[in-house]
Amino acid sequence: MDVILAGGLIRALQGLSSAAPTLIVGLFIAAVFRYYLGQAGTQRLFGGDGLRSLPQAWLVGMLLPVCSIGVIPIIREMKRMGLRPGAITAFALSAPLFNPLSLLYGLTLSRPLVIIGFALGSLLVVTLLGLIWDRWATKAGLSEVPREENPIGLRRLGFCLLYMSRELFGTTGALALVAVCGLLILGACLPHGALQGSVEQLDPLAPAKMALVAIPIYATPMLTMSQLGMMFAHGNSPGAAFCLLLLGTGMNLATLWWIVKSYGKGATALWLSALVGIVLACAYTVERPLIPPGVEPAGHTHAFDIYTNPLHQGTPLSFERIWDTATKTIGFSEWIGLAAVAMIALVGLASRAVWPAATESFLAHVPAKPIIAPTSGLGQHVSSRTVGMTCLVGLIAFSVVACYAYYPAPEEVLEEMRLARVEVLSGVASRDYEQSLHWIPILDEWSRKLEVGYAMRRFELRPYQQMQAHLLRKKLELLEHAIEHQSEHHDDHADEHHDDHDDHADHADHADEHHDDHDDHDDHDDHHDDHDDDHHDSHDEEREIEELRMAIMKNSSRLATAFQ
Amino acid sequence: MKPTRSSWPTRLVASRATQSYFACLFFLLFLGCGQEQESLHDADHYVPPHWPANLMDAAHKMDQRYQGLLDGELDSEDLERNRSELRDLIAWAPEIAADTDLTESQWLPIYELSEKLRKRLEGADTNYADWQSDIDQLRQLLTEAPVSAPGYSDS
Repeated sequence: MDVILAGGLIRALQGLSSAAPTLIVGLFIAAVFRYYLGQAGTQRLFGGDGLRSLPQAWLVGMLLPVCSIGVIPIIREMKRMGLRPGAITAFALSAPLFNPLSLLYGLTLSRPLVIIGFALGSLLVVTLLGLIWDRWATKAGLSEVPREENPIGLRRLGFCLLYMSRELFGTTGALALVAVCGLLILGACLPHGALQGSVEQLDPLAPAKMALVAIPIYATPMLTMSQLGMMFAHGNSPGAAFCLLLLGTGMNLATLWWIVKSYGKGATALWLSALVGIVLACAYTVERPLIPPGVEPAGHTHAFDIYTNPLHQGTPLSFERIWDTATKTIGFSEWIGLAAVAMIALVGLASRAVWPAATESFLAHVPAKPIIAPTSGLGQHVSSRTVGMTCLVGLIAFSVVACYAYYPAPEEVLEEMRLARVEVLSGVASRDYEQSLHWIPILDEWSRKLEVGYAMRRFELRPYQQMQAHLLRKKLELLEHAIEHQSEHHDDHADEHHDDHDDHADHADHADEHHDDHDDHDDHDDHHDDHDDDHHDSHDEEREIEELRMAIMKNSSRLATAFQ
Repeated sequence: MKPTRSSWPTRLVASRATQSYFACLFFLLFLGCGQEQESLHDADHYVPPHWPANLMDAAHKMDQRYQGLLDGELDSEDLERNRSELRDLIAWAPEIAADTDLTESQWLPIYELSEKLRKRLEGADTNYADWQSDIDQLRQLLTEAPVSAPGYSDS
């Protein structure tokens, strides 16, 4: 029971940390909609009331870097401004699917056609769903049209900050916690390593199973991209991958919760049924055509290990162990995001609980705009819409710059890979397998960044380069498995030694019981046979690990030559 | 805000969909997927028996499968298996070749020829005799590759 709860909590904490950066982005975008673009500007951005609002909402969603938690404050603001429900859900579903970072990452994972096909598939889904949703929820969506006057200058920035903090320490924050509850439930219910064999290609149940499990999932676009990559590399079901993308990344429990609260249970049930139905129809359609050629099905996938309990049954629990497991996957950017979320939430706490009257009074007072403003220089008036659009375009430009920062130049990546490779191989050579297991995923990720970074700067990625990067990742995965097998053997061997010692102690106690002697001899013989087999297995694995170490070393020079 | 179209089918879908979803989810979690992965041995990558040991072996196995298709003496099951294994071998050839000391310029013809043949094999073309020159060329590239690779020596 302790392991179940601890595993669920670890997954929830990891989810919260990965949501932090994009939650702040989502709050910022919502503040821009509210205080800069206003109702008219936001309506125009999302295509107004016409049919084009659905593809336009999809396109805006594709460009903005948010996840399915970061999208919550935005859709709340969109509803407040009376946008069409179809456009709201089209944006809510498509915005978390891709962003410039994940799209570039995704293009290296599989054939580019697959990722482009998935993107177009999502357009089809949100358009069909939007049409259905508009029919059922139109009147419910048109409510609370804002009519307030907005201030300008620093006061407006203050309004934005207060809005973000009060949202975070309010409904949006609560919905974010609901979203990570999905991870808590899955982490608690799914034992370690479950789902590994549930999504094999051409398994008729694979997309359906994925659709069921994906709804409570919360995943960032980058995480989903890496999962899609793993699924394609392991020859898993492309239909299940599509379900994971649309239902796992596109929505979470909080999305559902918000839709129920906003539009009612009946309409939500219809919406969800339509969504799952359309996604499954698309998934079964793409199942066969998108099976990658030349990829031998591995019979398993590790893509969903991140949703299962990170702890084995019977694991001794301590606060240090839980903390170490939880923080193992939290990187620098997540820590910064968590710190920023904590600070903004503190401001929200202060404004709601400590100085509520002062905050309300500050927000209520909108000074009259000066009638005469300078026509040049920094003091001149610029329309809210211009400032708002500049903010959004700036955000997209920032995403592009972030792409170049996230995917450095090949020379830098090769140096990082050299350092990571040294750590992996020295861990193998010194049998410090924990070190190797720590660095293998890091080296794997750098190999992907190498491909994307090269393609972004040279506008090409040759098949030879892709093949060498693929070979490195394949060998790294085989090495990871071989090391894990070896570790299991060591653990088994250690347990057997322990048991043997216990047996010897028992023998001393029962030395006068002669009738047991024959049985004991047989047991000894069996033990010897088992030890011989284990010794051979262990020897084979050591040889395999050594061969893989050599192969990775040889690959390094070919990889460097290919990318220079 | 209350839904405006909360008619009886809506309520029906609501109750059924919700109940069915949770029933299926719990079934899946606790019966289908709820087994702890005890050993990582189960997660081992399957290596097909016809996976070639090296380039020479790839060329040899490719020739065997191709001759089997040409002979026309196989029953339909064996014919399909032969064709499927030939397709695998052709698709794997670039990967096997990339894992050697071949340079990129030496590797590229193998890749291009493999892609060309793979596309043919994915189609419904059964006129196997037409593939002779491409198969021979690929086999030749594979068998000559180790000799042409940098660092090769007779010893």
